[in-house]
Amino acid sequence: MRKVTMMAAVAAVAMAAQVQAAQLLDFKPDPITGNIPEFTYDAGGVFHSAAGTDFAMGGGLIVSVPFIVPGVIAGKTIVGGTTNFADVSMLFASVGSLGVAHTVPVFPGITSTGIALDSGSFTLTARDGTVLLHGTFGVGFMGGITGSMVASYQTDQVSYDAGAIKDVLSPGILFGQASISLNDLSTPVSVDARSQLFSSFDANATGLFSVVPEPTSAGLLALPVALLGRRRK
Amino acid sequence: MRNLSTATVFAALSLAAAAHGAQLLDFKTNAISPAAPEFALINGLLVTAPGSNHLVIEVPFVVPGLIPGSHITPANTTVFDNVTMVISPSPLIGLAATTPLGGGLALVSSTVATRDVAFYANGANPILLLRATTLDSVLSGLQGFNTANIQTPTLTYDGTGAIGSIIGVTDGSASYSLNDVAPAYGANADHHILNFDANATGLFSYTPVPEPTSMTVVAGGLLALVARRKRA
Repeated sequence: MRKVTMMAAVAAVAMAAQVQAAQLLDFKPDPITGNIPEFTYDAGGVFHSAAGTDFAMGGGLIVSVPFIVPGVIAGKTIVGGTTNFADVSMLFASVGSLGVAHTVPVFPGITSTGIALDSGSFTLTARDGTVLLHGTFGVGFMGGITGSMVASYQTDQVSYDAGAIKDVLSPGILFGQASISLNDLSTPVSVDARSQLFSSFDANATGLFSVVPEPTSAGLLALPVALLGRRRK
Repeated sequence: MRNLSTATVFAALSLAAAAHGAQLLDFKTNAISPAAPEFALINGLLVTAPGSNHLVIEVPFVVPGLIPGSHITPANTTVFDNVTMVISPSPLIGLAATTPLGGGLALVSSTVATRDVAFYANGANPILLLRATTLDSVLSGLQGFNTANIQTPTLTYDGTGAIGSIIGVTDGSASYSLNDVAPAYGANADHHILNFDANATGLFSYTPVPEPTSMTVVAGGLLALVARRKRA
């Protein structure tokens, strides 16, 4: 009885923390590749990863997650409680854009140009082919200061459904958000006069994905559930 | 005419190359630190938080010298794996602007009077790697999301530090992605952005100052133009 009560308390604490999203992973190019862009927004309005995120094409990413990912995976190192993956390829593609781009005044002399992006999917793969993380994302938003070379992409509708990283947290689907910063755009932020979409560009990028519940809570949650299962047996 | 065309093309190509921005560095946390945010907004003041004390940054060229935590990669890039990024506390300017985007989404933006940003290699005696003074930045995100971004369209590197001394005094830009914004990003009824903590990654670009070879080509082209005009 004492054990069950304690487990219930741990579960309750863990579940209380569930509503708080927390960092799942961050990524940057590995190595930095100024002349190989990580992302492209093409003339058809599709936002997708480019050669800079593809290890086989001279790009690749270093990805870090704040917990231990077990198993033999190429490029994996563990430092403290962090697991780093080198030479990761990321395939990321939206279906397309939703509607047209808009330029809105933000402040006197400063306008922001943005466009809503449709859903899509992403896969992070280690160089030995191990799927690290796979998921889908819903509607997102890409925007930047008009005329500048900087922009960003955000979505709060990410679902994680497979991969070695996700499997550490939960057997079920998890949800979260993604935020990607873009710089060195090949075309200044603007609306394309013909298509009325965001002007096409290549860009370098870094970014982060988060998860709800946060990883520590997910671990705490998994523990009492496992213990309860064991006790029932 | 042929000389003139060649000279013009040389000059144009060189100037075009000089004007194009190039990636200078990217950064992420090292080790990843969900519990230690990299940025915080406290009562209208944007500050770097403890997570910014342990970053890994990388530049696409070789930085010479014995700098703690640095190494040259086979791709001739330089990685600094124990870096602190410091942004001078930067106040938001005025009230936030909320722009409906349709579909229930609203973009909430505020200008930020960003001042200095600097990167230091950590050690017993921190070593300055790069410093820039920035013009206004824009903090923006979607109301109620846990994501946001900071965009600095123009900043000026002052030519100091191990990285800065290589690129010299020049302009550039910066882009930071924020995630795990807690509590959710947004403005209150008084149009003030709510306090938050956030994890971050980002990247900086710069406008390369024409290297000696390019300068020679430009000078050669201009000299050819002058010589031709004199002959004419």
